[in-house]
Amino acid sequence: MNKQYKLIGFVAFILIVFIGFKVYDVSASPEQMNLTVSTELGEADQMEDIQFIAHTFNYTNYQQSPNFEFRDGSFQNLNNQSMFEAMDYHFSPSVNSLIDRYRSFVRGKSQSPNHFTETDNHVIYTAFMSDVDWNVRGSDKLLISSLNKSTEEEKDFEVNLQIPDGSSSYYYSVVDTYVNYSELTIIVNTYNSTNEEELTLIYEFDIENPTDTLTPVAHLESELGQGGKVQVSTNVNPANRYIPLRHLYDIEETMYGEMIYSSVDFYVYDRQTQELTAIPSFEDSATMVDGDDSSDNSQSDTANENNGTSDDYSPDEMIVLTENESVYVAQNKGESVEWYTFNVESADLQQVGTLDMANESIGREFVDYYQTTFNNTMHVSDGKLYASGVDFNQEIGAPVFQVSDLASLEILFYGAIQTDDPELNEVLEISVYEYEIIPDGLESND
Amino acid sequence: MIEVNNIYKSFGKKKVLNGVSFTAVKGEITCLVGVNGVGKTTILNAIMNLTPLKKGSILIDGKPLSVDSYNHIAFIPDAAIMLPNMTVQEAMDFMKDYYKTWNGNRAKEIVKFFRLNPSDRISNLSKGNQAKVNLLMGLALDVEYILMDEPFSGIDIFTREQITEVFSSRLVEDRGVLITTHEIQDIEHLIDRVILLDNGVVYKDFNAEDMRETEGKSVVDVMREVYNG
Amino acid sequence: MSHSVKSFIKLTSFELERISKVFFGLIGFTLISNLIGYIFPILRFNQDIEEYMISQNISVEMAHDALGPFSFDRVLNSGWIAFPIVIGVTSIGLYALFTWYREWFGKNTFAYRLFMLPVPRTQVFFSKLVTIYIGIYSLIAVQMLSVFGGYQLTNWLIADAVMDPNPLISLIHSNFLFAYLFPVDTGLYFTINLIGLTGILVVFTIILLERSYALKGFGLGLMYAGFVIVLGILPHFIGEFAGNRYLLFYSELMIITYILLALASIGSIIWSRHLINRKITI
Repeated sequence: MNKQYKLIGFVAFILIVFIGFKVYDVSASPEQMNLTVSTELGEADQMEDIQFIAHTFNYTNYQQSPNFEFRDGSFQNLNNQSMFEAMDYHFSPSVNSLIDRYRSFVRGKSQSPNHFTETDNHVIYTAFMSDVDWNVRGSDKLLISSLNKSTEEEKDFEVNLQIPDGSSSYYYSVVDTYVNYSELTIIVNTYNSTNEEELTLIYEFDIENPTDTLTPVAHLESELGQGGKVQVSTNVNPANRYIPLRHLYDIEETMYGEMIYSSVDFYVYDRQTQELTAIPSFEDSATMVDGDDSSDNSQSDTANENNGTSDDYSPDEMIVLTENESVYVAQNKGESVEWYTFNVESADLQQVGTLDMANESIGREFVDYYQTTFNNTMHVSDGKLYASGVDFNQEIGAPVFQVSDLASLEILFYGAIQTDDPELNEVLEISVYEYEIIPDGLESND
Repeated sequence: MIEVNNIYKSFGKKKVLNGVSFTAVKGEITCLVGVNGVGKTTILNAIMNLTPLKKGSILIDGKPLSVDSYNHIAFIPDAAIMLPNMTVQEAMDFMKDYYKTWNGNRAKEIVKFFRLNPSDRISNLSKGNQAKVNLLMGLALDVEYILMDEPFSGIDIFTREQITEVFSSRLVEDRGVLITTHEIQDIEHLIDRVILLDNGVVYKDFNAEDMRETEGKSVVDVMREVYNG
Repeated sequence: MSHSVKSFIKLTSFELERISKVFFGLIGFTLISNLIGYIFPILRFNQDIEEYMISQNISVEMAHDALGPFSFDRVLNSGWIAFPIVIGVTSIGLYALFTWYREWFGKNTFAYRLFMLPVPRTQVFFSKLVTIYIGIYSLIAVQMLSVFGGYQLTNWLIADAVMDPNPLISLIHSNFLFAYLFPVDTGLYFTINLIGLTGILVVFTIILLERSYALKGFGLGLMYAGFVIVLGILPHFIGEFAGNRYLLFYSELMIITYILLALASIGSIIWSRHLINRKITI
């Protein structure tokens, strides 16, 4: 055995060091931390329709920076996933939920959350061929699939999109899809990198009466005129009749190549009549009741004059949200918003009242020129207003959420995402990604 | 008995062995003779499974080659095959570690007989002494058969005499010895059987003593007839 | 202990003995290079502080505040740590070739003796493989110990107040090289080791093919290596060929890759066994 002392020595050395390292790794690694919803006002169960990914970063211990998924009112530490679970994990709770429930339907489909629309009975997939096959970039071939959740029947279609005469595009993307089964309203963004022409086109498709080619029912840039850029509101309820739109114009390019706008208008697109209606500015609105005339709020055009300068971004003065047949308009006053309903037929604003906001920026982030969508942090669902933001009062900003009742204009919930360790909160930055509202009845994946 | 049955071997397009068959038995010294390149070393390598055959079979006491064959047969190649930085003692220890047939007493005897110094490094030994170490590694194994490839190649006359002595000693007694050599005259009187190879086949397979008695020819005479005539 | 286990341990021990000087050399080089790497950045940091204090005419505390804390990460990311790892990996790679060819092309043809030992020849094969792994893991273990020693050294040489608060294990977890070398992420470590094992087994197969069929065997070996590489990466191009990169979920893709790599490893062992038993020429 003496002749093997070197072999025994090497093997023992390796084993001892590796085992020692693993023991050290386990013992020195920080304790598992938990995130909690810290309620300042109302009930935390109001958060149950909200889902998001919380990314944490501990400045004093990089290793203690796990990601969490918030779904069904509770946090799941994503570091606890098995190796294969982690491999399949998609950083969108809604796509993840679809993979869990309808794995074979999701297979072969682009795993982008805006390509899936879920209703009570169906899951609809709308994406371009180029979203799943990078070799066909520039293809205008749209893939549409529908899954009947109860019968598990899947229908697949490939349709060609026509774009307006005189336009040519290289990149196509689906911005959002609205569904009143079997009718789909598909909002498409196209981009021509040569002339930088961007189009926002709306198509209609009937799953029960499919056609091979779709012609746009609306070309928003041409209808709104004045050049510029059209942004589409994110949406919670795919059956909503009206689609809020934000139109940026009076564009200038800075010496750094940055595009800035000095005018912004809001519209709603009516899926039934396929018509656009402009939202009047608060000053112009004749039927505005109890408007605060003395306020120094200027109209939206001037409110955004300074947008685009690097340190002077400010959110819009106007907020436009829709649900079912209703259009909600709000005037942003920082610590509060003046709430109105908008009558599309008469183009009148009817003041509802004032809703206090937990801080001056929650739900009203600045949306720059380059984004395709707006209303990313403020949504209406089931008559409730959901707003998310960051509380900057602390040294490290904490994500905060506010849920309000739109009928009573009462705050149902306000709270922040924190750890249960006060010391850790001082060094831990929490960022929220893929924030989504999932209406009742859709989120169940058990 | 070592049975070589109809073996074929080519190197590239060159056919070296073209159906060679012979046997070598215990208690006899069998000598494979032939000109350079006739395939003598290849046959020994093939017996030890150190080169693949195209065709044919080799049996050791009726069994095909296996790991266990190395407990019954030893091969002494014509060059040193132990690591050069080993001492003679380390080389013997190495053999003792792996071969259950290693006979330590006999090894000591051979070391003494060849006047080898166990603490010498193999790389520092003369060619003759390296050949002796090679013989030591093979002869100290209690095996039934010993293969030797050109044991006298490049060796001085005194060493050659010492090695020749081995063939008449009890070191090879009762064993089957298969040897290849050019310098047959040194051991001709000790050889029992001769296998003469030519053109890839066994040209003649005869008993050396019978040849001397019946035809009055020595092995060298027969070789002259074959290769000159 | 069975006879064959004993002989395998003896063979491995023998192989290790033959290469241990090289391993000790690599270990020594790693430790010396690391030691320089631990001290050099600290001296530079202290020098920067001093120069800044003089140029700005400020106190040590103010200079520390201005220049920020000293992070051991700075040491871990230096070439003094990476260079010996690169040298170690290269040496072990070359050793995979050397371990076979020295038996034929060394001063004496030791291959004769190795292949005439009354032990299965696959034991020679596996003893060489295990010796390579002992070399690899010894170097990794030394690197582990060195990092711990270096961290202690840094703690002694740098005042607590200016030391970045991140604990060592956190820095190890976030280091690019250590993520591959140290078992901090089970999935990644498994993948890296499987790829490494397959790579070494394929290299062994190429060498044995060359030793069996000469130049023709080398050509065949290269084709085999190409085949294994294609096999390993093929699943990742299935989406490209099928025109749909979401055809498989990532876990499925990795399971297929693992299975193919495992098959390539097993295939290499079976082929090598056949070559070493039936085809090899000394």
